[in-house]
Amino acid sequence: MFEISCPSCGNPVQFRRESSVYSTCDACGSILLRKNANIELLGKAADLQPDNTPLQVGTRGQYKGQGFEILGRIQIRQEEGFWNEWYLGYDNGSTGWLGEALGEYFVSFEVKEAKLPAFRDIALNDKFKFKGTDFFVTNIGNSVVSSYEGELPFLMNGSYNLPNVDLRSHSTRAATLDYSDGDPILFIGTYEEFEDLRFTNLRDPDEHIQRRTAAAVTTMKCPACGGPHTMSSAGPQSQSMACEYCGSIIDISNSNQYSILWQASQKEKNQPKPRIKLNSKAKFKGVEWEVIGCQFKYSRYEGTTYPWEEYLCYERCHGYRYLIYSKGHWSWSQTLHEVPTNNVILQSNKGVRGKTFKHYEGYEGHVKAVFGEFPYKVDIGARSDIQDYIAPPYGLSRECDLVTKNREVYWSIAEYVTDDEVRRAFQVTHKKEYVSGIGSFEPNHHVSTMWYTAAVGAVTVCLAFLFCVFMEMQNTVVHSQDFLIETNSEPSKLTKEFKIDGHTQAVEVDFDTDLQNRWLYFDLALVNTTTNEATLFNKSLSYYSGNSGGEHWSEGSKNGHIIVPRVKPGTYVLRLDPQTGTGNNPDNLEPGKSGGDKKHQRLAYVKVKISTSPAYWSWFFLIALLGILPFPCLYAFLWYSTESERWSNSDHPWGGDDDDDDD
Amino acid sequence: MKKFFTIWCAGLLLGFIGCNYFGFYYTSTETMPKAPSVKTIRNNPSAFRSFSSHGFTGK
Repeated sequence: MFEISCPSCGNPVQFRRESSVYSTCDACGSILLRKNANIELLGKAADLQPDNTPLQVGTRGQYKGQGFEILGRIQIRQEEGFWNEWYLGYDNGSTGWLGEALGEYFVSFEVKEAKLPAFRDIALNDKFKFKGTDFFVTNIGNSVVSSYEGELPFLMNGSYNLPNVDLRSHSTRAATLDYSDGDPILFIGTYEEFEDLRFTNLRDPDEHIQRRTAAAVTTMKCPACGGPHTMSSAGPQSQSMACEYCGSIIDISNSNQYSILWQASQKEKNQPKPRIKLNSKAKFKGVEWEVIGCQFKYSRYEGTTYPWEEYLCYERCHGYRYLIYSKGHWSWSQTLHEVPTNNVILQSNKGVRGKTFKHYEGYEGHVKAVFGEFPYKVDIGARSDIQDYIAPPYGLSRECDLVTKNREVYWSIAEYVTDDEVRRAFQVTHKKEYVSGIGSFEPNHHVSTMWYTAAVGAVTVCLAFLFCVFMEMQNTVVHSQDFLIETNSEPSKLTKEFKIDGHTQAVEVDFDTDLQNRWLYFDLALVNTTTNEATLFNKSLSYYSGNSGGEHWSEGSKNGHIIVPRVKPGTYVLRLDPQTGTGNNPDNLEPGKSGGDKKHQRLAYVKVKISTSPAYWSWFFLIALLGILPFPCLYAFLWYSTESERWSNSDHPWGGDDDDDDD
Repeated sequence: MKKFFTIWCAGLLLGFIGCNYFGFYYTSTETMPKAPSVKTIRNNPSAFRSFSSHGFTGK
């Protein structure tokens, strides 16, 4: 660092780099040229526009691991407002620029490109490929470099015109074309978040009036009605203000001369009232914001007016955000650094990277009323073409001013916030409205419940299934015996003794028969041989088959089983008292039908198998189908109904002809 | 709803496991505290019939 005394005022002036040739005096604005050990006074720089930037000459930061220091800045004025370009000196000796506009930070470096387009040949949305990246023109400006401070890589003497073109890409990479010298100069870099640049030695937040800036105005009177106004913390950067008393819009970009941009008539003085108190502060998303302005907007479709409100919030490091209110729903919106790809996928923005947005609706927005301050000129009746895309809980909006439509395309990303969240943080003056229906990108709360019930239900079914498998593995055949059912013989059968071990459990009795066109009914008794306690139950089987019209048919089953509940451990016999027949009456209880002789006629064969620990498969399916499946099905239906309702308000209602038209 | 469903599923699962393990089932049965002894049944198979017949009349 090299320090000298200003030859004009004696204030110390620093040359932070040995290689720096030009610098300006912070105190008097003198432009100094360093020639070896001599200092030459070249003139005076214009006063800087007072602003609330958190940065200052001497602020240090980091970009992609490389430290830098702010050496100087130029202030650039556009019709809509102004921004700062800070000149950076990196620790590795290189230099670059940091653009600071409305809370967006763009770090860039000069890049040599053989062929660059002429300013007159560029139109909005044009695509150019620089250094392998596709860039899209998002802003064409005719700016003026109005003032400067600190060290700069070139001699600044007075203001000069700066035709410039801003380009954004599908990532945070962006570019600027500078046409101030006639031949274009290309700068390429990336948009960065304030926190990611790890600034130190920031400007004191309370030091609103910088050494060489004009005094920032804190109060003013409306030139239309004389109403007193206190400026917000964003005041130095505000370009227009709507008077809360008369509704007129005042140009406040020049604090020496306020002018009326739009004067409200008596009729327009009956304006709606903002539902959030202006100039109130709110801690939201970890940052303390000040609500500095409000715009009432509307669109019209088939004779119906659809209003919404946009509350402009400001914080000196993070810039501007919009809190948007529409039909009882809130969202929190900010500028999108990138231009989404054609099928509307975000690639770079944190939190929403890779999300695909679907086109929801397109409409023409109109400004109906404004209140408070804005960093740009607001206009009652301003019109813009708005295209909304959604990926709940996020919404994406492409806005193009219909008056200056060849100048700028503005993309913003919004996140749905609940009424409770807003009321906790902001001073909402209106009562909560009854909200019917779902917001355009309000999360469909049935989705999470649907997936939750499906997941928990699936886990439950899996566990029940595994338990059934476990029971199958425990299943033990304790006895198996064959019986013949004949005519002219004692119908009652008795198995041999078998043992049931372990704890009280269910016992399964399986029947395997060779029934053919007959029924079989058992009265059964499971008799404990020790206590003579018997459990009585019954089972019927039937099987019929034949050919009809050349086709084979069958009905019933030759096999069956029955589960006997709560059988205590012990030794048992199973008594079977079968009845079987082909008609209504059993034929195993009567003498043989063929001539009344005593011959045994075989009627059926039965294999009886007794096993313990049967798996309750029938209950398993009952639980899965009736106990669990209805819940995810119900929520799938609710999800569908909600989505259907959401899209019924869009340009692409479900069931319409253009479901897949994603614009 | 999520809490209710979690409790509902846990209840179903525990109930299912408990019923299965301890042998609770919905089969219609009757208990005869003092049935004829096995020896009696072997000697006179029809001795039991009056207890176990439920008047089934076929298909």
